Amino acid sequence: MNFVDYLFENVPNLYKECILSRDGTLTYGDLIERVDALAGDLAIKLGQGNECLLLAENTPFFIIVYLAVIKSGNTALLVETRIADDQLATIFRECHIRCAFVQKKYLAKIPDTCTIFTEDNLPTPSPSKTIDFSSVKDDDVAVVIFTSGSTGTKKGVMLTHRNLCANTGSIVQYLGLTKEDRICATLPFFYCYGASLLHTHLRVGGSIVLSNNIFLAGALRDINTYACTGFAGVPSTYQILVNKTPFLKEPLPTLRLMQQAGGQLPNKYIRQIAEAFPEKHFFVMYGATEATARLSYLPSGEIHTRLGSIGKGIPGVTLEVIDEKGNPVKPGETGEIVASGANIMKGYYGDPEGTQSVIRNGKLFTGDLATVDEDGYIFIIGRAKNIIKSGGYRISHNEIEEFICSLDGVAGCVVLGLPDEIMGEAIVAVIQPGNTPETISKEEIHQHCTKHLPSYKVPTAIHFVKEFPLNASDKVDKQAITASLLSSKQKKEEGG
Amino acid sequence: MASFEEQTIKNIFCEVLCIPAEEITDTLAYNSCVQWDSLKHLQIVAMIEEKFEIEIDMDDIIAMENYGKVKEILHKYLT
Repeated sequence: MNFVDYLFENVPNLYKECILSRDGTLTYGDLIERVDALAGDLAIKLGQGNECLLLAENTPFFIIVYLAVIKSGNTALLVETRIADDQLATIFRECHIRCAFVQKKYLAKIPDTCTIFTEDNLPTPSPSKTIDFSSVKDDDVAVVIFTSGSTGTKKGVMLTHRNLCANTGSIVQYLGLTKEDRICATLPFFYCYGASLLHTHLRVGGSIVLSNNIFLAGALRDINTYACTGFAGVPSTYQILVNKTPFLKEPLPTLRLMQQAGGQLPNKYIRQIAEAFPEKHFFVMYGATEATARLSYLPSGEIHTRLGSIGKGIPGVTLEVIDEKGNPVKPGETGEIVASGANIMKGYYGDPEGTQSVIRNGKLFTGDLATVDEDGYIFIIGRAKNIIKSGGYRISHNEIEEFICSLDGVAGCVVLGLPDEIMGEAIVAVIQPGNTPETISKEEIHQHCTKHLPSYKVPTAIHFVKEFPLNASDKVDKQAITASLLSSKQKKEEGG
Repeated sequence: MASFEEQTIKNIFCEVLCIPAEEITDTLAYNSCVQWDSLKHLQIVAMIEEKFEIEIDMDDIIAMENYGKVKEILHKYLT
């Protein structure tokens, strides 16, 4: 089934508000009319099976183009708005982009080798012609999302109409979304988690508030102004809200549920939020772009009893933690998280080898290491490739980060392994103090670590930062931190 | 606002947004400047707070949507 037809199956009525923002409101009728018109136009001018690049922030323009491209049987290539010029050039070189839809402010990024449309010159809708989109197949690629990835090279994750329908349906089911739900969307739609917010709320006939604010505190205002029932964030979203805004003291009376995914939020914050909002549902979730978006969730009722767990597989997804021989691990043992379900991607764009390295026998090998408890709830330990190898030990950064974050006066912590001539890798902690001026010193943090962690897990160096650099998905950019630490180390060595 | 204070604010914008001083005019706005995103905004606010030893109210941080507004808002903290 065409994914866009699936999304609009439950439209309550055409006059219902669908997309709301400071710039105005689109009803379902407005949105469907504009999507159909553009999809028809694309089908006539381009045909099907072409690639259309989309580069825009969360705007009605993004939503209309995104849905129209998919509906017309073409493929939407989503890239982050902060993409580096050389990475964008690579995408243009390696993909077969027929046309690009670009928000005006990003126009300078796009080479003039293809047809470009902005919000000012979208093709004018043709007088209503009935276009038959029925030839679109479930396994046709609807979207390619270029992930930020941890290796630096961007991978294009190909998602089919079937992938998108399956994951959307699962998320709607476990969150219990209905047409009454209204999400305050701050996460970008070019990121799979952000896109899932758009998909799920359209699917149930709910509404989406485009909360594009200069500062996250604006989202708190938007939740109240627009009477939002839902909010979603990555760890940094909640850390900024807790540390820099009165979030925990806000009543937010209309808010029913909060979603958290995109990395591990330190337990301290989960506890604070759950305690501040005991009557609201707080869902800790886990996923991957390669799985369309979502793989697991922890039922909100388990938040205190299974603190730190990512829960179990979502409906329709089998999630296992397996050892090197492929057997499920026993409680306390460590293995890799492996997933199967209709939401697992078709593959990486133009990279069959890369695809085979992560999808084997129809299962996605996530590269995430985890353990399980007696009841099968999964606890992430770290990324397989991010495990720090120091002094012969294999050390998970999560445990050290979790410990340092639990200290008073610490707002955030990133632990990295940097090359070290003696240890192989040295453990370095980069810490964001919770208060200005700092109420905890590097020496005190070091003393706490020495007292509570085995000696091989104690960071050899501690750095303070005011803010962590974030990548386009608002996740802490560990690569940028590593690069900056290595360059200052090099400068020091050259200088001294 | 003293001119050295204004220069300090401009320098912070140049440093964080990586754009030349002549591009930093009162009309430079969050909405249209590609470099000025919400994270850079937090960095700008943090640097201004540190440099002038002030704490900017949440409502003011939200309202600082263009450079002219930034100066106007900071004026009340710095006088």
